[in-house]
Amino acid sequence: MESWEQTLAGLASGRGAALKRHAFLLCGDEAQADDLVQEALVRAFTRPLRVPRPGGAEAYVRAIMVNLFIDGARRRSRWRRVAPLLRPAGLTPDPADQVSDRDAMLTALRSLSPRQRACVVLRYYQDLPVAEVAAVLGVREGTVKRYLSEAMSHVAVRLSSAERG
Amino acid sequence: MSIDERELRSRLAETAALAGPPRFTTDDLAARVRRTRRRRRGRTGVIAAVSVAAVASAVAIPLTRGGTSQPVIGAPGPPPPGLSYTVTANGQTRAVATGAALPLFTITPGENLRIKVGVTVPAHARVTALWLGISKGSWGSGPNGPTGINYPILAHTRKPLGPGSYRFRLRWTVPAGLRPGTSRYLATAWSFREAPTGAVARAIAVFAVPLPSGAVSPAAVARRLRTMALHAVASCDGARPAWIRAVRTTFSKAMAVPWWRAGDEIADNPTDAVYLVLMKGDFTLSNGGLMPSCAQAPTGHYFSAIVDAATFVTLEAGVGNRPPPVPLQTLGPVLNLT
Repeated sequence: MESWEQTLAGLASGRGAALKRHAFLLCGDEAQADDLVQEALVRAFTRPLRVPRPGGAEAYVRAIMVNLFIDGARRRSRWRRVAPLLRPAGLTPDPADQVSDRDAMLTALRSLSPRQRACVVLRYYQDLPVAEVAAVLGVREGTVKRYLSEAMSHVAVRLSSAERG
Repeated sequence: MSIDERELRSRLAETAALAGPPRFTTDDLAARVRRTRRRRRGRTGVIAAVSVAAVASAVAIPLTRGGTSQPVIGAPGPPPPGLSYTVTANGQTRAVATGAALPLFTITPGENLRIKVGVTVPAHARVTALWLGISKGSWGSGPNGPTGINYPILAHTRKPLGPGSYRFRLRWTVPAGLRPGTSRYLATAWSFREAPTGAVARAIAVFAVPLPSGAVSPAAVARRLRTMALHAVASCDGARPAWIRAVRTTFSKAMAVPWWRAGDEIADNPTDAVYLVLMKGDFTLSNGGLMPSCAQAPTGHYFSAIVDAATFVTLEAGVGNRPPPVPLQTLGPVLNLT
């Protein structure tokens, strides 16, 4: 029987890059994507009774990543409300933000709500059926369809305005 | 402008490719998982360690015919000096072990009970005042001395006690109206040099009037145990348990079944008849006053208690996440109390 160390090693070394790409689309930031993947892997393997089976490990970790991202986004939104009150005057924006802002698609993704973004990534990047997207997010299929429809409209508007300059 | 799914897929793939290679290593991740697992195990250990003493105090509540008394609440404060006690009553001497079940003495209504209490004050400690008295089931302490230890107060000294051993001879006339199945606690409170305005209180023995042998029907036993179990659940902040089962056995056999800590067993009553009560549900201890301030409230899916068969006093109790390793059926006929 494969131990959790072997499953973890196989996943981190063999699928680490793919997991990071998935995380990058979700959060749009390199450092955050690294953190998200690591956190999801640690959470997946911390509980001995819930360690994923080798075959289903990647899907399990991706699901944890999506949920961590949505939970984190909720916390960050609270933080954003108070952060301006705490930020000292004259602080320059993070250069990483400026670099990533150059990409129109990332900007468009950032304009979406966390759940909409998760739906887009799971449906159009992971190619999951709507039913599975709904299962990962714990919402109804109809809700996923609505998120996807709204997200498509948002992305289209953002991309067109970016292309117009 | 609209965007079709194919274009969106293609753009997402291009954007995902902007992500660099992962900046973590497998070894770091495995080490982090091991650390987190160790921390989780450590927390579980703390819970297991504090559960026995804390729950035992929380549910060591006498059941009277009229109902149950209130849970015991001790006042938290600065770390008190660890006094040790021995209690002698009816010719039997019992040591009071920290974290273990209280010594249980049977009494007769109306009897003139002579009690000797030995108190040992450890080195470097100084007790500024000490009270010994009888309590109905709740005790505490305040700036003016003990509370709840007044049925009656049997001894009270304000003379400071330095390191050493002290003996107190007490007399208590057991109330003639005390009914079978009820109990009283010998409780103590003391103040010490580091906290002269406060005091620490605890029970050091249980006196219980036994039920007449053969006078209790199996149905009455089941009813009584069930009431006690549900009362303990209320003390534990738990929802109604999925099931409650009990079995009659001896104290030593009962102690071998659940998850008690080694060393909790009391050597002088291993053959006493007891009921081992086991419940399944979700239990969280809520008696904050008895918990160390840094400890998480113990939680568990199984709650077990050892109840003295003659007096129905709870001797031990604990919560855990795993069922007992020995099936109850191996100890005798199982009573279903659900």
